[in-house]
Amino acid sequence: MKNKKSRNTQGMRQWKKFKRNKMAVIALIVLGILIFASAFAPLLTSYDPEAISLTERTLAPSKTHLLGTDKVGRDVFTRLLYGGRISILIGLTGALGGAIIGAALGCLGGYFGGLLDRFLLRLSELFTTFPQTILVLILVAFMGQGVWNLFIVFWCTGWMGTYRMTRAKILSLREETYVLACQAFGISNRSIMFRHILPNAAGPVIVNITLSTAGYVLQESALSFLGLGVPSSTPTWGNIFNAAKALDVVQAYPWLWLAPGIAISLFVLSVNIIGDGLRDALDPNQ
Amino acid sequence: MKDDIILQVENLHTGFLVDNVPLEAVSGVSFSLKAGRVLGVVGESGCGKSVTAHSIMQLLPKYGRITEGSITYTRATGEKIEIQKLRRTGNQMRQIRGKEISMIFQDPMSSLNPVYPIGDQIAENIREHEKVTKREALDRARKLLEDLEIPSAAERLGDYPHQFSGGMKQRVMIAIAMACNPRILIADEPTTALDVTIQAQIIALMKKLQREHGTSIMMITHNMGLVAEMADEIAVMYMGRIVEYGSIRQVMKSPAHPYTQGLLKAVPVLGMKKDRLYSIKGSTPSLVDRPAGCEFASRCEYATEACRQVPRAVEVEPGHQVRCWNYKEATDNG
Amino acid sequence: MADVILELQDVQKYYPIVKGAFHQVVGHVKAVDGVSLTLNRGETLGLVGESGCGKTTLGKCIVGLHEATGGKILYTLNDEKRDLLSMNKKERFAMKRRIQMVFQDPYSSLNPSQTILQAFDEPMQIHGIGKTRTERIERIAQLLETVQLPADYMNRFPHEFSGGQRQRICIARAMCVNPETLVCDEPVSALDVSIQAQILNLMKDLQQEKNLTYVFIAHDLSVVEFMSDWVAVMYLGRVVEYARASELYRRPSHPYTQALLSAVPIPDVDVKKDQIILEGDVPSPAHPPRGCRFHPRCWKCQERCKCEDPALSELKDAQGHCVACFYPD
Repeated sequence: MKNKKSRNTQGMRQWKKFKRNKMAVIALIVLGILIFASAFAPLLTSYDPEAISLTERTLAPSKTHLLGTDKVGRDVFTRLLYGGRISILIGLTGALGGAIIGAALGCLGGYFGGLLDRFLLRLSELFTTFPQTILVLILVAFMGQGVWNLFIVFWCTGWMGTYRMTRAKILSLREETYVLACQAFGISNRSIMFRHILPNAAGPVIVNITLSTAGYVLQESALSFLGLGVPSSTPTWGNIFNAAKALDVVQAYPWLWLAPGIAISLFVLSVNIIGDGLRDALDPNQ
Repeated sequence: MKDDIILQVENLHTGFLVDNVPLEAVSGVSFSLKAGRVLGVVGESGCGKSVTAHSIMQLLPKYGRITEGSITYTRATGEKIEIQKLRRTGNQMRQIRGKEISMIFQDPMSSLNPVYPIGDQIAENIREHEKVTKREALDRARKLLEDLEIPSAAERLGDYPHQFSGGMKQRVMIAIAMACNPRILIADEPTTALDVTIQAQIIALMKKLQREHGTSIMMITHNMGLVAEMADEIAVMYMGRIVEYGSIRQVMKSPAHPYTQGLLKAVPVLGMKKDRLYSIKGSTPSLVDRPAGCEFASRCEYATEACRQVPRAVEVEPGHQVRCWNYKEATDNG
Repeated sequence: MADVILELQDVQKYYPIVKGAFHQVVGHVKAVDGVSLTLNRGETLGLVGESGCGKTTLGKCIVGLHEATGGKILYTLNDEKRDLLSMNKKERFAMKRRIQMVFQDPYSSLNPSQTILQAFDEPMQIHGIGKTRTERIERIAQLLETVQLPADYMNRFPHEFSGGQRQRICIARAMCVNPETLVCDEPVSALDVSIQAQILNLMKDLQQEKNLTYVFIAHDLSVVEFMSDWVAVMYLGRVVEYARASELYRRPSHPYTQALLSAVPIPDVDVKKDQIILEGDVPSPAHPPRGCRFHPRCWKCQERCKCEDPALSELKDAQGHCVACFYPD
């Protein structure tokens, strides 16, 4: 609370800069609608996402079923909304977790250097070379399919990018004179690292989070498509898409794959554009 | 006498587009550079001295443009060329730039390409402008380095920039600039990044080259001492205008503009034994909100009502011009 | 009797040069190699020399930003001389209140993402200055006023200020813990000429007002002459000449000092002096020359200079004027 006023002014300045970027504002609105619709899914649709209705199989979009129904008669619009909940959650949590681990390790390594830094660098190389699909297979074999598998996989394999970026940024920021000034006052290393240096490195980290959020939504679809992700009964954008993999579906029932496809594309695109906007807005030197 | 003028800049205006707002960095600069003489251009950061030099070289960034005025270069043949009319990357400009007018920059560390040996870099400039074989060019490069008192020049031709110290790199830069024996050398803060003793070496060298080749030098600096040592004439710039212009003796001995007076009094001089320095109050206004009228008025001791109008250049004595309404009061008190 | 506040005894700062996969130490860069100096309370010691002479490293050793590898840095605390290098962590932290530093580059000395208030608040908090936030804000306002800036600037960000204003802010920030000694590392060399004068005057005023002791590091000899009571000229990690400022500038005795002084351009067309142009560059501090370190560039070099290293010793006819040369003028 104590620095509320000044933080606000800085926030305002960044928000103003962000607002100047028209594309980013549009993307933010699109993303807002997607998140809002998923969060309030029960208010927007009366169907049950998992209710099978054999009398209403593969219906084309109509007034009763806005985006039609799938091969077992589930309402696609409803599944899309409910699916968004899990897909976005997986994307965000995966990216945030990885980013937190990466940023923390990057800070430690970059600031202190020496043996710790060299160890972390080797560790990140080890993780980079570890094949993700095999890790998923192992986890699925031990724990069965589930959302948690994806979290663990994304956290374990997703921190290296942020780590490298944070480390590189900290290595250069560490040489800034204001860090020396802090040391001359005897300010603790922890405070220098997290209060003085990290905020100046936050721009690229946040951009990275948005980019990997988009990436994880795609990966979730891919893994679910391979049957390694979320169980197919639970609706996610990947699973809905997954249901449309047969050739006859692709040709005859385009709404089954078009709808989730567009949802995923819109989400990924808007998140990326927001990331770009944030990068410009958060750069303290501009 | 008029024939002696090798470069004539008349009412030069150079502007930049920043966030689609046009800013004028140089507004109405006029001066002339005489053959074989040294003109010192003095001013603080942002006064437009480097922009003037870049305008002459047509090296302005993409969003920078000469909006008005003329830059007339007189060739050895007597042919007059209006530089501002040439295309930046056109043939004629490329012929002039580097061959007839060349430039050295402030930072020798970043002006050389780190991946080529310096011999190649010097030779390249020679071969760009003259039809010689690579061997001949390298031979000339070696001679140049010898002229610049670089020890064991022949062996050092194959060395890379990182193997040279700062002072040596600046010598190499001078060698590149002098490679085609240019008629005008523009030196933009050539010694600012160097230590005092190295600065003395470089300045001595530049004087020697100037004597031997009769090159005209336009020396851009913020250091009044260097100008006093090098220059024959001096132009003091403030916010894109020349506020005082004259021979070095006229300006240094009887500065008429309050800003020139302030600059001279504000620098501690060896052996001056003073307890306080004179200081010009405030700081240079930003180009974005350029004050109407005389730009220096807000910092000036002698400011009056008249200063709301932009002052015109008046002649104090022959060849000594000042852009100030109240220069008489300033000269009497200063 | 002068009141000695800081005494350096044979201070050394060696950096190991490491090579190979196992980081073996193959040699040392002797950035500061045996410097002994004393400094009185309320006076200014000027450290001059060219880049790489170790003046900044020495300054950082005094502030505690670098750990000196040898010698003693004695500081007078309540009439008792204490060695900074043998202090424990807590005592060292307390010393940060007494010795502060002003840095060269005002543009990178302030954190771009913090307001001035934030930049001042944390050091004051950790050193227990001003119990409440209101008290601290009041003090920051006062500090800004002493450097002639309006108090409401404290809610602004560094990018809103010019170089001169930033350097004022940096000076005020160093003052926020009420230090006795200020190590100023080239505080004006990044500033424009007209702004330099303002900052130098301000620093002189502050010194008188608060009886501050300055270690003033600069490469510009005229600025050092203006600021200092005592001047030490450094070359390759050593002090080559040390004297009262008036004495040193009147009668420079080490050839290097003479060369330095003669190299300074004077803004006066009538002064024509004999310049001593030194040959060559400063050698690398990793491989300093044998004997007198200045001998390869010295025009008075004798056989003796090539093998023997002259010690800093007082001139016979001038008290307190020390020179490290066998053949001083």
